[in-house]
Formats: sequence, C-alpha cells, structure tokens
Amino acid sequence: MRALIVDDERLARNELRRLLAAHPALEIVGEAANPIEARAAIEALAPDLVFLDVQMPGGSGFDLLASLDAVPAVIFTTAFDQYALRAFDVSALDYLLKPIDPARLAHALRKFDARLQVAAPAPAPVAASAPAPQQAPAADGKVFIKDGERCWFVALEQIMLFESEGNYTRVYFDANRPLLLRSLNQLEARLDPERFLRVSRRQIVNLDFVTGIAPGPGSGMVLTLKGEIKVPMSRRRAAEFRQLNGL
Amino acid sequence: MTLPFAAPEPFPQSSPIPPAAPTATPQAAQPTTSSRDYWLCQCTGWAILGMISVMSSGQGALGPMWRMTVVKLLVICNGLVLSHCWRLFLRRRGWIDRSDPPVPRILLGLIALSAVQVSFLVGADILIRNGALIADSDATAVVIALCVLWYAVFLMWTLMYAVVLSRRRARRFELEKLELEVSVKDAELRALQAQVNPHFFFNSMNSIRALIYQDPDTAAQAVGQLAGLMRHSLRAGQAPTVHLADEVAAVNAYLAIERHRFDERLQAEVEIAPGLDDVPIPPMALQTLVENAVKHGVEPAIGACRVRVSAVRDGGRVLLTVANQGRLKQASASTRLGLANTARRLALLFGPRAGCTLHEEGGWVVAQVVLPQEGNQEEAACAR
Repeated sequence: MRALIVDDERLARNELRRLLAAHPALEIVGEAANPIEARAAIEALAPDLVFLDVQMPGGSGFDLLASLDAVPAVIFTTAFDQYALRAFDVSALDYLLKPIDPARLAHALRKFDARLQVAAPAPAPVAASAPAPQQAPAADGKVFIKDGERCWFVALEQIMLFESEGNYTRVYFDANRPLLLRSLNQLEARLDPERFLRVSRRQIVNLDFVTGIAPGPGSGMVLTLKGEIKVPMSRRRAAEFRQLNGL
Repeated sequence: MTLPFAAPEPFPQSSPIPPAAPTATPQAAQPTTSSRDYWLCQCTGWAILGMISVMSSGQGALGPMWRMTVVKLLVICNGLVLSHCWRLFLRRRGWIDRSDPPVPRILLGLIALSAVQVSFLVGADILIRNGALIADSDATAVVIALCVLWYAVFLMWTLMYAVVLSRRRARRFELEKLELEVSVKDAELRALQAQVNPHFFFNSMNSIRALIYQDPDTAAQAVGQLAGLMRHSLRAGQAPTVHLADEVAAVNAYLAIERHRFDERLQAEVEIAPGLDDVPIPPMALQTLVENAVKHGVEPAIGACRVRVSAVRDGGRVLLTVANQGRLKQASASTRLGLANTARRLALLFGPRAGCTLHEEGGWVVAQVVLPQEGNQEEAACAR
C-alpha cells in the first residue's frame, strides 16, 4: 500500500509518519505541504491512499479532490473541522482528529484495506490505452463532486445520468443534481462501457437505472430512468443500440 | 478568541452599561425622584382645583365671601390629605400596582372617600358659615350633587395615578429587559473570552506530541507556553484590565507555539517601547489582534508571512499596532461587528478618544488600538 501525506504543518506530517511506522505494510511515498504540491504528487506517484488535511493555504482538501480526475482513497485529518466534514455529504470518507488516536488510525486503515481488497478484482490498468491522459481511476470507482458549498463522494455505478452543460456535466444521482467541472467526453473515457451508454451528444445513461424503452420521434427511442426521467436517444445511437442488443 | 475580531473582551465590572435607549434616562428606579414627582403633581393638581373652586364663587358681601373661601380652601386641603391617604391605602392593599386592579372595590372605596370629603365639607360649613349650606331649602340635593362631584374628582385622581403608575411600570419593565439583554451579552462575551480557539488548541496539542519525540526540551517549553496562554485567557474573564507586560507575555507564548506549527512561514517581531509595562489594557485586546493576524495572514499564505506587534507612546496616548503581510479582505459582517464591539468596549473603559481601526497599507493589514492615558482615563472613569 502506498500512501501520501498532505498537511501544511511539518510537525503534523512528522507526527503522522511516526504513527504510521506502526503499520509497516503501508509505504509512505511522499509528502505535500499545500494543494498544488499535493496535486502534482498524486499525479506523479498515484498513491493508493492520501492522508489529507482539510485546511491548507491555497485551498481546502475538498478543492483539491474536486480538481482531480482520478480520486484516490482519502482519509481526512483535521484538528477541528469535523463540522465542515459533517456539513458535506462525505460519509464515504474517513476522517481522523488531530492529535490522532493510534487505535482510530488502525481502525481506519483496516477499513481501507478491506475496501482495497474489494476493489482489487477489477484493477484499472495504468497503461496508456485511454485516449485522454488518464490516471488510474479511483480505487473504488468514485468521483468527488464539489458544487458550491456542498460535496459528494459518489460511486460511479450510483450515477444514473450524466448530462452535458457546456464545459460542465450535470450529474444525476439519488435526488441530487450537482454540476461537475468536467466535460462529458472527459468523463466518458473513464466510464465502464458495459454499464454506461452514450445515448446522444449530450447524455450518458447508466443502463442499471433504465426502467423502460419506448420508440421516440423519427426512428429514435426514449429511455425512462428511475424517478421518471425521460431521456431521448438519437436515431444513430438507437440503431447502434438495437444492433448491439439484437433487437 | 475564535472569531475574527468577534471575541471582544467582556465589559468587566460595568455590568449595567448605560443603555442608549431614550426610555432609560433618569427617572423611575430612584424613589426620591419618584416621590418628589408625586408631591409636585399632588400640589399642582390640588392648587389648580382650589383656584378654580375659589374663583367660581359668586359675588356677594365681602364677609360671607371670605368665609366661603376659607371653607373651600379647607376642603381642598382635606382633599389633598384624603387622596394621599387613599394612595397609601391603595399601595398597602396592592390594588393599583397590578395589571388587574379590583375595580369594584376601588369604586366602593371612592364612594367612601367622597362621603368623608362631603362630611368634612358640611362640618366646615357648619363651623365657619353656621351651616349656610344645609340651611338651604334643597340641601339634600346640594349634598348629593357634592357627593357626585367629589366622587368624580377622586375617580379622576385615581385614574391619573393609575396611568402614571402603569407607564412607570412599563418603563421599568423595558429597563429591566435591557439590563437583562446587556448582562446576557456580557456573559457571552466573557465565555468567548475564556475560550481558547479549539482549532489552535488541537493543532498545538498535535505539534507538541510530535515535539515530544523529536525534541523533548522544546516540547516541555511549549507545554509551559500553552499553560501560560490558557491561564492568561482565563484571567481575562475576571479583570477589567491587565498590565500590558502580562498581555505581551501571553502574545509571546502564543507566537512561540504558532512558530512550531508554521515554521518559517510565521515571521513575528514584537517591539514594546520601554516604560509601558504597567499600562492598563483590556485583557486579550492585543492577543485577539495577533491571533487574527495569524489566522488571516499566516494560515492562508504558502510562503513566509511577517507579523509585527508594537506598542508605543504617542503624546497622551498609547498605540498598540498589529500588522501582517497580506490583503484586507472585504470585511465580513462578523469582523465589522467585532470591531464595533471592541471600539465600544474601549470607549467604555477609556473614554471616547479610545478606539480601534483596521486598514490596509502597502501590502500590510494593520490593526490599531488607541488608548488615551492618565488624565483622560480618570476623566472617563468619572464620567462613568
């Protein structure tokens, strides 16, 4: 396991290093003192796990995550920002309060380890097969979304619809519709083609959420998603779709 | 200590701050003023009534006229005495001091009052005018008319008294509410004062734990500094002022701890002019400014950030200045409120010439507290 420590205070980084010495399976591959360094380190080192301080000069840990294409597993470390963490819907994330309790740290690492094992069967090759300069996808296929004051850390398979809005993409999951600072094309490269279907220039649909298919205008089709969301499918895509499914 | 400028030091020992509301001017509360007002109203009222009554006497021979006037004046005096007794009675029974006075009983009391008054009138008439009043043919009608008249007079008196009382009660209620609000604010301020910024506290604890392994001597020193700072901030809730030297010691302890956290990112200089050690300042006034400088200057800076703390004497005043490199962000509502509160507190403690300002100047954010000294301060104390 390869980990990166991100904290603007040298003593805090040292202290975490000291605590992590009790976990020899974890290799600390680097340190960063601000979001700019951290971004560079994550892209260069592709760590499995990042210990991330919430408050840093030059931007918060949330801003950093939202700027990443591929989000590694994250454990937040904070002295007194658990309110901020609670305000965000980041329950999927772990956080440790500084000074960090060794038992809590061990617990968080065990949880992380289990998650890694679950995600392991489908490792994404780091090979440069993707068209865009993509890094390995998130350890467990998640995307970090920050829209205004709210944040979500959501698994890709829970997203039912991606809808292009200029350079942004609106993401539909549960009852949330936040904007993601990525183009639809950027996203498409990351998505599993078995599950996600580009139905038109503007939309990508998660097939798991399709509840109905009806013929649409022309020789197009209209997909109905959970929650009665109707998505029109272009003629060309519909033809491809029919062919693919032997319809 | 937590919020930007929002931890203005409490108003020590000056609990009921002279409230600004116009309702809270002299008056009420003081029994002497209130009883003087009462007697003034009583005398004026009865004098006017007496004048009207004397002037209303018809013409006639000089002798009977005089007698008549004497009777009238005696009756007026008796009215004054009776109404005063009535007031004592009402107050003792507590009939008038409440929101739901027992109206039937009061009306009954007024009948008794007018009966006594008319009896006195008739008695005086008999003594001085040989009973000219009851010698009249329709004496009964006259007596009844007098009873009704005096009933009306005492009723008016009681109504006016009740109105005055209820207005005074409303004012007192308002004043009490105001005092309560002020004391709640005061308590809040004190609580804030004694509170150590949790973000700072836990980060310091984390740094100290790292130091324990790395550099035990420095760790021990840091524990001492943190303890000193905590003690100073706890003391802040108890005294109206502290000596500048004590405050500076706390500031130095704070900066030493923050230096462990921020390394070379925090470059602090503290310069206190000689001879200012005993200058009284509101507790935490300087420390709060330094903490704000670190929070808004050093924390968001990736590189080094200088913080300069100084105290100098400038004519009859002492200037405390805290400056940090950086830009002054659009002052938030809480910052402005904090500044206004601090300025008000300073004015209360040191008079109107004290104050607190925040401005940007050539890449530095400068916070300054002005404390008038000596004479001015005594003046301010007297004014209070």
